Amino acid sequence: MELTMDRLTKMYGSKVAVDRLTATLHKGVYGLVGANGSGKTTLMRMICDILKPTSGVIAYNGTDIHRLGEDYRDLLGYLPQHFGYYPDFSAYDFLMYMAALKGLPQSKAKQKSLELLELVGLTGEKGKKINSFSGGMRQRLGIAQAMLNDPKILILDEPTAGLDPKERVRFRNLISSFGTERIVILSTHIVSDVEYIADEILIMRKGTLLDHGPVNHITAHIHGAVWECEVSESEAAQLNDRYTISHLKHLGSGVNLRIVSESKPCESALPTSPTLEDLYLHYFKEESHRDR
Amino acid sequence: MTDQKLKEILHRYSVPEIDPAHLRQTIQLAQKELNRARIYGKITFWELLAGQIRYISPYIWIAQAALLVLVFSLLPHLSRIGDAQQTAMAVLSTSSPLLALVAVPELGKSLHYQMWEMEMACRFNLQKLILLRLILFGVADLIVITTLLLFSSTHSPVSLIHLGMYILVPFTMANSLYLFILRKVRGKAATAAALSAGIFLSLGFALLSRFSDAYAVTTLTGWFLLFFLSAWILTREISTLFTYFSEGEQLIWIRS
Repeated sequence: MELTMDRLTKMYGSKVAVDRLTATLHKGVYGLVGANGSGKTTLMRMICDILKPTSGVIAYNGTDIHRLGEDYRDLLGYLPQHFGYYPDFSAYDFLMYMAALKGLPQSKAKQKSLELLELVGLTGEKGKKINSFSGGMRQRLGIAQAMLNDPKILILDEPTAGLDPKERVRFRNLISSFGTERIVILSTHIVSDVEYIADEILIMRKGTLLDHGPVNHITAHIHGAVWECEVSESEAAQLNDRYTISHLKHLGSGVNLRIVSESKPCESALPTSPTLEDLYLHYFKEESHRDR
Repeated sequence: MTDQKLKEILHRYSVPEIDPAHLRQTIQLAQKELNRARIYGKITFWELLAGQIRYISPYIWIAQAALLVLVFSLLPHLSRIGDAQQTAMAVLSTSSPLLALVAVPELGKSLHYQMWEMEMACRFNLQKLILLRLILFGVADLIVITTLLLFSSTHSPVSLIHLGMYILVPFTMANSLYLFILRKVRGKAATAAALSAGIFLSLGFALLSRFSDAYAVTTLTGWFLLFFLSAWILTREISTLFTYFSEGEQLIWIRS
């Protein structure tokens, strides 16, 4: 099982959304990380054959996905970032409807719908109208519809949005189990969602693939660029203005800081092991400064 | 090689006793693999079409039935109190844009309720879903139009061909306009825009047929020309709509 993207480019007029992206994906969980507007959703839509690339090719086991058409979509499970539902649908109706579009015969559709409702913890709510559901319940239902056809390629765009911490943990475990037999691509800008479950991280910025590899491999790129120190309140304020702070904790005696910086930020700073969050901040310094 | 020697060799490779635990495990693994594998057949487009009828809003059928009942009750009554030909022209030309309008919310519902992205990534994608909906509404409209024609022909001295033109020309014109609106108007405003256009179109045809000589003086050839022109525009509009529903860019734009 191999999904390859070869010099994949997508342009909206003169704006480049995805820029000559090349990658090869095999079985496993891939965390697609990037700031808003980095091209994650566009890339996912192209992988799902919703958007046609301006140039470049996406191939599944060596065949262009456009040529595979229906047969390719048959292998696909997709949860978009923003999705709706028909207002008169119950959770079960919704799954049965999506199962029909995925080409499942009715008996198989019934069986799969019930199984997945159980898996995402919505069995008790199967007859309830979706418009009475919370955001987290809708998200879980969205994940269930993506799994209806036992997809070989599962694409989840910001799937943890709207989930509470307990649901997020549950979801992470679910995704982890899905990844053993399929290609799972999971986009998020919440790095902790993918740090522990992704076999490989793909970091996107301005449409390009900035870095990719297992977490420990890519975080090694900033080894020696993450520091921890305990400073006074006034010094913390100064450091906050000059450096990228990944963690700040007020203590009784001062402030504990975790700083991402190529150079030693202050005298008391000691180097520490980088995490994916540190790496993200390292790559997206501009965005995090802009957001302040 | 003697039989005895053969027996000896075979005894050396005797099959071990089956461990019941291993047997159970093998069955379980086989069952798991069976469930995982796609050994079930896929439904065909026509099976999907039959199955999708239940997902069409019942309001569509109710609205179509209500329109039929309205025409059934109005036409005989109005024909008695006024000019039968003019009444038939007015009633049929007014009702046909409304008949076409009934399907608009259903055609635009994937965009309206933000289901389009999920539907586009399915085996039977949005393009096929729209084709399926058009077939269903086309068949339903055909039944309603035939019923209207047969009924009005019994209450009007006008020929069946003329009556057909009074229905089909406004019907095809209205359909083209609605499909154009669905493509061009952004977001949820599309349905409202189509509704407004339908009502204006219906009123326009009512005024034209009731207070103008345009209908009466137009020859049958003229009507046929109008019909072919409007049918050509509608065919083009349907073709453009299909291209449009296969292009994610357009849908992303219209949803923004």
